Amino acid sequence: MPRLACSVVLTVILLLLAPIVSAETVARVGVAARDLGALDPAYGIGNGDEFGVRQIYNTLVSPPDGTTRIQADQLQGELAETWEMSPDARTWTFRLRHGVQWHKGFGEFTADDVVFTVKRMADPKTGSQYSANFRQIESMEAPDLYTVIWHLTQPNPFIYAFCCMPRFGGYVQSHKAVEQLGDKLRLNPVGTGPFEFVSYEPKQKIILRAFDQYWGGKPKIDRLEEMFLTETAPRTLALVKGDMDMIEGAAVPGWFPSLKKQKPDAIFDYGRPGGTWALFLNMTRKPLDDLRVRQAIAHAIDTTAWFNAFGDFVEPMYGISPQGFYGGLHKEDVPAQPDWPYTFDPKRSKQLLADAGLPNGFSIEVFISEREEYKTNLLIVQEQLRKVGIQINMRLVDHTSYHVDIRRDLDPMVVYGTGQPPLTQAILNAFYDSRSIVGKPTHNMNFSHFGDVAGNVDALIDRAHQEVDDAKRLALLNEIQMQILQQVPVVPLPSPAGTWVHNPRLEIGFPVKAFMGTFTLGRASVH
Amino acid sequence: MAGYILRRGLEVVPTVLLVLTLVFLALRILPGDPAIAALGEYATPEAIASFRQKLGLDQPLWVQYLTFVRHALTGNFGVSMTNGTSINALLLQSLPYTIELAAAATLIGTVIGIPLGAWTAVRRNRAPDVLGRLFALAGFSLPDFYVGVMLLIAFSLHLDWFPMLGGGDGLLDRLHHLVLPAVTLGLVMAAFVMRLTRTSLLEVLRRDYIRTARGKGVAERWVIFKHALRNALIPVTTGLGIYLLTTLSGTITVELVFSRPGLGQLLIGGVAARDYTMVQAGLVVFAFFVVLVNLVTDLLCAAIDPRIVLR
Repeated sequence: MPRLACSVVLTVILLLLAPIVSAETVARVGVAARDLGALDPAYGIGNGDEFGVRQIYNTLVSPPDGTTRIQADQLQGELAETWEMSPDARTWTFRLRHGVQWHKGFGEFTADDVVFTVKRMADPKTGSQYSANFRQIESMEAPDLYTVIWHLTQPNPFIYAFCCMPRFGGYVQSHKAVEQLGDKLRLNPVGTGPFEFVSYEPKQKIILRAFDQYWGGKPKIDRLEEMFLTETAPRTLALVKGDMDMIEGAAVPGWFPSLKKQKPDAIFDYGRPGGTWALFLNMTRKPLDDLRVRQAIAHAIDTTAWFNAFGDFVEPMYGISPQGFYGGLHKEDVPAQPDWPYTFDPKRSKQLLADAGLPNGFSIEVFISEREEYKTNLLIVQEQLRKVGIQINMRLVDHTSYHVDIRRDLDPMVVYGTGQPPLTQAILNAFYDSRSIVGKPTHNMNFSHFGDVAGNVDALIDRAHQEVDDAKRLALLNEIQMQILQQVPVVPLPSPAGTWVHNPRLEIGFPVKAFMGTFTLGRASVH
Repeated sequence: MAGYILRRGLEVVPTVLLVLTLVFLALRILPGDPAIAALGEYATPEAIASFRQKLGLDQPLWVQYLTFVRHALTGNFGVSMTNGTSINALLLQSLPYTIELAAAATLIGTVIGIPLGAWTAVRRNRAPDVLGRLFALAGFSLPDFYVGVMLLIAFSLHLDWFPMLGGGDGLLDRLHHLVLPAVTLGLVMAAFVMRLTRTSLLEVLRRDYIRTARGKGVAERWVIFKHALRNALIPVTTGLGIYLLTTLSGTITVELVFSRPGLGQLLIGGVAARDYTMVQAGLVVFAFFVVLVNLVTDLLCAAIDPRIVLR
């Protein structure tokens, strides 16, 4: 009995002392993902992966925190202190930060790690989805421990946007750790970032801790937990209750006003430019092969419906890429005349359909992913086209099947949303270069078949990529976009912002005006 | 009894083999490619080919099938196609959460459902009966996820009595995390058990031997509990067995709503990612539970009613 009493007293004392003993600051972040794919930057593709990877790893350069400013003179150095392009844009020299340490005692970061990373990412055997980006680097030199020189296959003033920035596989990896850990690196990452990996609980969370030797100074948050909360309701309630310090937003109509009402002090971090959403029209399919029909579709779309549904979560698109992308078109860039195909004009839409021999409109069957953002976009399009006599019969398929089907060229209309480096050139490559047409061996995401049908801008895209002069490059990008838009292979849909929401107790450490998917919490603090 | 269990155990083998085959084929028929799901929308053809080779997806279907059956029969389910985690480890980690949830829900469903069913049967067409039937109607009509979210809002968000997410660590914390999910499933189960008990008991109460017992002056409480309820529980036990399987499926929704670890999370994630190995393993485990629950139900019925002979 006395032993039992002692145990009880001891337990009570320990419980009382617990808050004092564990005075570490903890931040919990809920991502809209079911699980982790990989924390190896070569394989991490989902938002659940990207958040962790961004905290664990560094890139050579990145847009200043909280922005997506992408021109070379605006970038901030992470592992590179300076960077320099040769006048012909074929050679890039990076001078690296000294004394940067790898997590878990893997030693100092050097030029060898950069060379190794590029080779690993470019190697088809690695199987990274970003490998094509790295193949633009023809050869590399590391004249000393802290200098790397890249020689490119062709001039590219934006090579860093594809190979050494966050989100698109541009994180530098430890040569020693990759060789030592092999496949185990996927779930045992070794980076140089503000937080180092502690543990992974499948379908639940990953736990990170502040890296004492972080080159940017030890983070103020001791422990960072990334929780996988794919369902919107519990994720939202967890933020409202205070169980989560930050959550990923949900692109669901009504979600933002509802959350603002439930939690007036919640801070919304909108990332603009956001994703690129568009309705691609397969110009090899009847009746979409007729320009008048495509114009009729474009004239029938009233983008105010998106603003009514999502409020300030979306912003208008005037070209093929969001306004905030490098080379993105603004309102003043597009013609003001009423016959511009993207002016909402249902009367003209019906007239064009009649001219095309379809006075009663037509029906078309469209597959769509079950995911909320895809479905919602197509539902809005469906409702608007119905008013001019175009009937879209939606067939819901699961998200994985949808991705496979649209790459098999099965859909006459494709609603697609994607995150790309904030460069119009990246959008052109993926969606409008004829080499990217679905079904071709070099396919990417050209669902409209533009390039083989209704015009071709391949040569202009190549020129825009290689042009060193900024003004000339912008003029080229403008010209390419106007050529594409006039043929209406696509109806750009309002661009949704990437959104995170955080509790006031979490301070991010910089104003969040824009981001690519996610951002670092290396400078964040919890009050 | 031992011979019966052994024979039932042997009968399980062809059932499980059939399940394995159906699961294997169903997954291959589903559209979607695990390589694209795992590697992403920009995956190069080389990357896809290398992924398929690494996981044996480039092998003929029959080779893949034999490998799968061999692995399943030896209890080695391989690794997740999504992130290379050992599936056995994932199952070992997740199963206890699902089992404790199903067990707790069954306990709640039984503890509430049987007395409530008996009470409403005894007070047929009176206020308790009407209220009980209303409860059953609500239990049948409200979907699990709705009940779950409502409980979260009331007892976690506003009253802060229970945690909102996860499965908890350590015994007490786990129990604390278990309450709301178990109540969510348990309430729906209680509605089912209540209806079943009520109907069954009403049926038994009309039997001659009950009338005889009453005629002999046996106390009403004794008639109900000793003579009627015991017999009424046989269909309830069978129904409980069947409903437990529904509850096992219900754990999938509840695990998602409460972000609890468990078999449901593994299955849903596996289907979305076309993680064949994960889904195959999860469904085999589910199938095993179905067989096990059926066996236990038969044994329980025999224990309640000695007239039932296990052959």
